[in-house]
Amino acid sequence: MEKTTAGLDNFIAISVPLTGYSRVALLATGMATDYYHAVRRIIGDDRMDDFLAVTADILQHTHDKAPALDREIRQQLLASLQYGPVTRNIIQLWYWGAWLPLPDAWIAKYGKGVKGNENHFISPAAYQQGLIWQAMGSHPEGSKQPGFGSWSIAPLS
Amino acid sequence: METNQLISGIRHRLVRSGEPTLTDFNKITTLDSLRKHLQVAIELEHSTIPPYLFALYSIRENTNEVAARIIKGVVMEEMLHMILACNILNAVDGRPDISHPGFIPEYPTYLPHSNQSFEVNLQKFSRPAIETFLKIEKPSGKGAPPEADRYASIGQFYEAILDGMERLQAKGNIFTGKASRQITPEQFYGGGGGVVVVHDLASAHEAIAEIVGQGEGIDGTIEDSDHLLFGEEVEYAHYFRFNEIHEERYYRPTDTPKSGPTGAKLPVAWDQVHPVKENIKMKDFKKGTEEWGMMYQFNKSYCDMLRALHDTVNGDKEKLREAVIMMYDLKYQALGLMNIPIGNGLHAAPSFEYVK
Repeated sequence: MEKTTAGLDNFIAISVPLTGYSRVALLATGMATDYYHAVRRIIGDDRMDDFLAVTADILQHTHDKAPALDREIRQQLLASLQYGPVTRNIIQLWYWGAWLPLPDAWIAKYGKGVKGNENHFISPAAYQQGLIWQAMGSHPEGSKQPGFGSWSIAPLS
Repeated sequence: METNQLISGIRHRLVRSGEPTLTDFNKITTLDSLRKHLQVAIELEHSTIPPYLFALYSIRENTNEVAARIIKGVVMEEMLHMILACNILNAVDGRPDISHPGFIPEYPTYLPHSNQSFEVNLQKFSRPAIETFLKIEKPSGKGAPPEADRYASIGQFYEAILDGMERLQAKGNIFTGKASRQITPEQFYGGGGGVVVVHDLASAHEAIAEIVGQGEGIDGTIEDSDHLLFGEEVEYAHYFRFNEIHEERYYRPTDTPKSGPTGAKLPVAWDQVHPVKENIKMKDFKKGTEEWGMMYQFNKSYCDMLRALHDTVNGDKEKLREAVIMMYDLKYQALGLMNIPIGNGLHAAPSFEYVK
């Protein structure tokens, strides 16, 4: 249990700089646990633990501060053949609620034991809670209705 | 067996007034006093909304669908009641004030001007919460006197207002407010029941009948007043709808207040609720933390919404649309807060506090 909680905390901690949203804003979506378990389920415990170890190390030695943090994320995560696709998928999860298939090249090299790597929404709630809607000052179509005539006035925030 | 009064065709007056039991001490005898009491009425109607919303939003998504629908229906009607009270106050040329710092009660609170027999908390959906809601909506009972102050039921309070209006109107027309300040049915879409435009004693009666009838039911039945006033389908008054949740059983049309609900089982999952902190306050968090910021943002939005409503009922009717949009946004903010763990197994929640 302890390990799971620590893993989730690490997952949320790295998700903050990856998404540009605060920890509390991410928790407010109610999706953190579901996304964490989804990534773990798809890429497997070993890959997930590797990934979280690397991200924890980045956060620690950059003291969670830009610009060092920004540089390290670009170099160690986004530019990495191993971690890049997973990192991008986590960003996609938060913004869009859906898992995108990891590339064939990645699967060939690192994908042993990967399950459920097809394009899918994590849950109906994941679609509704995507950060993309907040980011563009809109709302998920068919959900979280903003009220009649809301399109006629400037966004509230 | 009790006869159903609706079926047997007996129609009671929705509101009794001018009963001799009203003492001079708590009679409403001046226009100024009437306006003050109507302002209290607005605050009274509003004071029930945060606790109902708090409990409603604490229910986990896709669970307790019937209970959530019941609470949502009631809270929408409370919003209507607040607007109806504003219409009455505007009709007697008063000025509703719904943006002053004391407008939102500090929870836990007694209902404004009540006899202080119970406190209302911001608490999650639970049996104790529903028990408080039942107390809020409790019918006065036949023959309960009107009470302008220290009332035991909301119905008594409104009867005192109606009694005052009748007495004052007998001395000269009190309905001198501008018609342009009334909120009209066209503006009030999707709300519970109908907006009544108030311009004389009869329409004031109708507005109060709507408020009291929806809350407590018509004398001796479990039905609310909408089907009489607006030809709507029979719907049960707030007290009885809450009682369905409490008893985990539906009423049947032939049930009476005495019989209690005898219909099918109403499933309630009391554990499918966010573990939110009761009567939470901004000061529970260190200023400047992300959690504090989100609490503050909710309160800021809530107060901005009240300020937009204030403008709406003070002549700037176009502001209602903006206020409604803010209400939707508030819901999503409240749901977000309830997802945030704050330690000790508890989650954050909206605190409904006044901020500038």
